[in-house]
Order: sequence, then structure tokens, then C-alpha cells
Amino acid sequence: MVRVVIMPPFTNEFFGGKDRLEIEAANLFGAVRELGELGPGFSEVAEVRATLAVDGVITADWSTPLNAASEVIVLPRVGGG
Amino acid sequence: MNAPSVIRSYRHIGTRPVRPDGVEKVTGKAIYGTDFAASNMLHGAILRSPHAHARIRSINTRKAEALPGVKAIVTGADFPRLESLVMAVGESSSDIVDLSRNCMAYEKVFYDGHAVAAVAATTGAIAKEALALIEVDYEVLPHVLDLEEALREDAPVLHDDVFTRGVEPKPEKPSNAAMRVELANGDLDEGFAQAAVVVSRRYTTEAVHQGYIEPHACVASSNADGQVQIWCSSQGHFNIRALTASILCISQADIRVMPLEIGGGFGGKTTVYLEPVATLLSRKCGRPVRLEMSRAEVFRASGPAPGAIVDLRIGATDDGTLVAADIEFKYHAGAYAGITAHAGAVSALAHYNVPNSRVVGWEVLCNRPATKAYRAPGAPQVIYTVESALDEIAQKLGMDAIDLRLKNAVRPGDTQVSGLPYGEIGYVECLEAAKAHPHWSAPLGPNQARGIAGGTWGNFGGPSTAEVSLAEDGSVLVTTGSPDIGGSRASMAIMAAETLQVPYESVRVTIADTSSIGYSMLTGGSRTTFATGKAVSDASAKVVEILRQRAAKTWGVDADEVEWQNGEAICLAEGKKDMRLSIKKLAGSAPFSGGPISVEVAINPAGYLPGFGVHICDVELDPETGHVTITRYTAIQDVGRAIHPDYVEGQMQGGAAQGIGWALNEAYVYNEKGCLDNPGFLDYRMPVASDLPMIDTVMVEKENPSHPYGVKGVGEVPIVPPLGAVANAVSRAAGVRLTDLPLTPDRVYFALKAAE
Repeated sequence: MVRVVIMPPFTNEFFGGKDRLEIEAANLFGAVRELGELGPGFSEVAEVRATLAVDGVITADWSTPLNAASEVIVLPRVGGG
Repeated sequence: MNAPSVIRSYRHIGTRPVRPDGVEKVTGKAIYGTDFAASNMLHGAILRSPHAHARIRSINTRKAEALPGVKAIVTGADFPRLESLVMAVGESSSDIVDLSRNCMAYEKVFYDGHAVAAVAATTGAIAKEALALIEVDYEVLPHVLDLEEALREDAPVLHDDVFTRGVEPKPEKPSNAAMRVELANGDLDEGFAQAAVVVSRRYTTEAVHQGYIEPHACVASSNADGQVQIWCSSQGHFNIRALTASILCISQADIRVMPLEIGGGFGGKTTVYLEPVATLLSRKCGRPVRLEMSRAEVFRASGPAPGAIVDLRIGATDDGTLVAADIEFKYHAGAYAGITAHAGAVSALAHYNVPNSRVVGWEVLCNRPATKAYRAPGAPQVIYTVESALDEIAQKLGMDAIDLRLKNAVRPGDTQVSGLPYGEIGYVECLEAAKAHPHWSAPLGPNQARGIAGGTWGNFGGPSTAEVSLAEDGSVLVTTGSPDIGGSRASMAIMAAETLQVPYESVRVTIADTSSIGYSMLTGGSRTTFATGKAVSDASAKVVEILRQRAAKTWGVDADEVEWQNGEAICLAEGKKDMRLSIKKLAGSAPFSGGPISVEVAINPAGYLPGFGVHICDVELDPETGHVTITRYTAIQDVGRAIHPDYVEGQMQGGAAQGIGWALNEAYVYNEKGCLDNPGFLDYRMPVASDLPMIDTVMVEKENPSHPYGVKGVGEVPIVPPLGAVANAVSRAAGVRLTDLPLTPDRVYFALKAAE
């Protein structure tokens, strides 16, 4: 199982306040799909609102493989100027 | 001056060559948004709401249509009815329905200056005359401007479909609270129980405009077959294409956006205001249409940075160790949901280790223009309050203000609030450089005082495309899709020249239109030198690889036996040692060695690192008037590797100047009807050259290992510390803590009198 840490405001907005989840996913695309099942609406906004990190490193390539020891952090994307 | 450090040495990186766009700009030849003209072009004008909040009962355009010279009129009814869809707007996101209705109101207006109709006519004068003939029947509604009034139960609610995001369970009633975000760690009660000193205050800041000199402007030409051309200045023409296409339900391939020179953006030109309107007008009349904002329109209708109310409590032990921080801030969103609460929440304490903390942020809808990005959006307001509180803690403990910060500063490997570890950051180095700077220990005169503040911004990467090709004579053409706002043509040319090992002057950079190169995210978020620069560096490296292969084929040797040095291939193979082929020779014979040499690289790099800054500010206070003079100012910043130091220093100086204006003078002033009373530079007081001393800069060059040349973003950090640095200096000079920005003479004067 992949451990997922959800950051606010996604915790309350999509996941009923939960900030720790465990999911089955082979890569980040799969993780986003799975998170969309657990938090309806999340997968539709993930590409434009979320930044994903795997094992402490922000990852722009969502085909990055995940394994049972992986930890994914879901952060809101911070918009700059 | 530069902070001493051990860094790699290069041939071009870190040099200060002449800017490639300099001659065009200083001779007035450069074509900005308002300069461009198309053949047979019409002139547009926009009718704007005189009310802060009103329902549009009807719009009658018949008299305007009958005016000779009027060729087209559009209102909100001409815009497609869209389904809610959250779209990327640069790094952040907005609902396309909000963006569309911000371009042209439909059914309701939400702020003074909201567009309600647009006209295209043969002259600008006729277009303006036609605006006066358009009859809009408004039902004026109660309005709300103030953050806390907007949150009251009895406040006029702007949108009946906005339910506070980030709250569980979802509210049953709509409200003006668009978003709530909370970040917390540790145990606040336990933390404050350890504190020997606690500072607890309320701070306020006002909404401020980015103040770009060039107003928004565009020309749109819609053809009978539906294809559209748009010429405009923006921070991202691909963004203009995507938003215009979505608002008007056009295929992106049918819109070609040509980037013009941009006269400042600072985050404010990351969205659309005029382009969809001009496109609709052009579609109606079949001719190109120009729209441009006046300065008053820029102030009334484009998006400022939010004003804020911040309630803060922060505690430290008697040795200055921060043990707890509890912060709640409210930011204006303006007419539509904003994007800054989360940024404010993650930035607030990002430069310090605070084991027990809670940061709560709110975005609040009100009858002001929809707020937009402004350099480090959301960070300056809340970090100002943290830095102000730290100054008080230092005073209460009798500690040096830099030592207090050093004691708590984040270092590489420390954990961010997200749980991610910090990489090679340089906040400590900035603080040490500040302490070593002669400014910090310089004597002060009567009524003078010194303030210091730190700050941070996360920076970004994002998608970028770059092409590097060789002309037949071996000169180098670099093409990107990133508008040049802060000198990116020069920095791209430097990075290409460094990689190819050719003279800087042999490299020319073009910003291509949306149909001439692959996608690049906008120029913003301090990302272009990092991300587009990496694409240019990678493409240049691939060109070098091709050149080595071509030389190897020419000599009949293996490519591993060819070295690239000083812009030429050198053969290392036995028997052919030291044979050389220059880039000129290889480019000239390229058609006969495999074809033209051209490489396009498209990337979405991660590996960006946050930047940190420390500013020192000296002020002199006139106790008889409350007037503040900035007498000395030094900006110190962890910039990664400075590709072209002039531009990096310029970013630091520009951000400092804008932050000083935010701290001392700038504010939107509304009257009782909710209309903006100071929509111009005479009454909206930005700093001018005579207001400021020379701003000294110290570049702390701690390289980013994830970039070929160590680049970190630099454009946003420098606007974060000035609010705190100025406020701390003024508070120390006044002998009383000042907590409401801007620190206008009347506020300072009355604070002095109250303290007597």
C-alpha cells in the first residue's frame, strides 16, 4: 500500500478531514485516480491545483512508479507572480 | 557587493554583457501592447460599472449602434454560457466562469469598474462617444468592501453559489468566505506554556496594485473561418491563448497569440481582461480591434494584491527560541475566489523552525476587483507580521535582531510544513551576510532607526519549451515561448553560449508566438531562468552532441574521440589528433552531414528551490509631520547562481522599491459608494526615484544542484521582506509599534501623539 499525506485545504475539501490515506497505485497517475475515488472531485482538479511529491521529492512526472514503501504528499500548488 | 562564496567559474555565466533588447528599448523602437497596429484596425472602448454592486436589469445599445462609425458592440449576453471548470492560470487556477464574467459582467456587476459593454468604432473618440449612448438599467445592491464586514452574517453575499472551500462539513449557506485553509503542527498550548515572552497583536495591510507602467492592451483579429490572431503584451501568451479559447469556446489551434514587449507585469498580467472582448468585437465586425486600458481602468478593473487583517500570537523562550505561533489572516479575494490563502499559510513561518504552530487563512469575497498575483502572492502581508513580531521579541529579550533570526532560521534538511525536506537553501547565509554588512553596524543620527526583516518564497519550475538551432554561418538562434520581462533574452543567451562555448554575441534569442513553438507556462513564479533556462541549456547540450557526431562522421572516427572546446570540435583519435572543425564550418556543411542542426527540448522540471532574503532599512522620522524618509537600504538574497548579475540585482532593487511603497504609501481608497477614489498615479502614491536611496544589493550565491548552472528563482523574494524591514525601522524610530500599513505621515504622526 502506498501511504498518502494530504495537505489542507484538500483534506477538508475532498477527503472529509482525513490527512493520511493508504491506497494501491502503480504510479502517480494511478494515485490521483484512486484519490479521486476516495475524494470525489479531487482527480478533476489535481492537474491544475495539486503538486505531488514522492518520498520527499517534488515530482512533475506522474508516471513515476510507486511501490509499497512509497510515501506521496499531495500539496496545493502555490501560484506565483 | 557580492557575499564571498566558493562557486564554479564560467566563461559567460555571471558576466554582465549588454542586453540584447537594450537598443530597441532605449530608442523607442520596441513594440509594446499599445504600440501595435493592424491594417484596417478599429478602436475599442469598454463601458464600466459606476456601482460597486448591482444587478443589471437591461442594457440598451440601440442608440450606440446607430452612431456613425460604430461597427460592433458586445455585452455579457454575447459570451458563451460556460459550465464551471477550474483551469490552470499559470501556476495557480481559476474557474473559467469567473474569468469570463470578470472580462464582461453578466446579470450582476461586482465592483466599480466591472466591464458591462464594449464598442468597436472607426476612431477611439467615436467608441467613447458610443459608450455614453449605451443605457444600462442597474438595480443597485448593498456593497461590502471591508474584510470583517464581508464575513458578518448580515453582509451582502456576492455569489449564491460560493460555499466556503476547505471547511468540513461543507457549509449549507453561501457566504463571502471563499476559502479557509489551516496548517498546524505540534501543540500550541504546550508551546506557549514554554514561552518567556509572547507578542500578540493585530496587523492590517491595504490592497496594492502591481503598478506596471504599461497598461493592458491588445489587438484581436477574427477571420470569417473562425481563426483568430491576437497581439498583446502579457506574462504568458500561451496562457492568453488557453483562457481566450476556453472563454469563447474556440479550439486553441485556431488562436495564434503574438507576444509583444511587456512593460511590467509582476503577476498582474497572468490573466485575460481584454483579449476575449476584442476577439468577440472583431468576430462581429470582421476587422481587427484594439482595446487598451487607461490608467484609471487599470486601477479600477485589474487585479491588485489583497489587503489583509492578521491576528498573530508568537512566543519565545528567554534565549530567543521560538516555541509557538498562532496566526489567523484574512485576505481580500475581491469579486471572485482568489488564490492567495494557501500561499500565505505555507509562507508565513516557512523561514523559521517553530515546533508548535497554527496558521489559518481566509479568502474573503468583497466588492473590489478580483485580486491577482503580485510578486510572491500572499506572502508579504503575513510575513510582515511575523517579522514585526520577531522585532518586538528581540527588543523584549534585548537580543540582536539578526541573532534571534539566526537562532530559529531554517537550514538545509529541515522539514517544511508539508513534510518535505528543505534542499540547498541559504537563509542562514543571508542573515550572516546581513550581520557582516557595514550597513548593519553603521551609526545612526537623530530621529533615525534601523529595521531588519527576512522572508521567503517557494519558487517554481513548470513546463517550458526551447529550440536551439544553428544558422548556416554558425551563429546561434535560441527560441523560447517565455516572454522577456526581467532580462530572460540575455540569460538564455548566456546559458546557450556557455553550453556551446561560443561568444555571447553570436547567440540571438527570439520569443516565438503560440503557433511557432511548443507550450511554455507563463513568465512568472520566478520560474523562467530556472525552467526555460534548463530547456535552453539541455537543447544546447544536445546541439553540442550533434556537432561532435557530425565532426566524427567528417573525420571517420568515433564520436567518443571528439571533444568540444571553445566552439570547435577537436579530434582525439590517433593519427588525426588535434584536427579541428569550427562551429561555423560544421554549421555550413550541415546539409551534407545529416541536415540542418536544430534541437527542440520540452521539459517540466522539478528541483526548484525556495529563495530567501534579508533586508536592512534605515529611516529618518520627522516628528513634526510623521513623514518617513528611507535613508539607507540593503537587500540581501540567496539567488542561486546569478546568470546575469545586473538583472538579478535589478530584481532585488525593484522588489525592494515596490515593497517600500507597500509599506509607506500605497492603498486603494474607496468612497462611501464603494467607488475607487484614487485610480491614478497622482493619488495612488508609488515611490519615485527621489523617494529612495540607492538600494545596495548582496547576492548570496548558493547554487541549486538541480539546475545545470545552479539557478534559483529570484523575482519574487525581494518584495517579501521590505514591509517588515520598513515597519520595524519606523517603529523603532517612533518608539511605538506601528501595525497598520501603509505608514502614511498621518498614521505615524497620530501614533507619535498617542504615545506621548
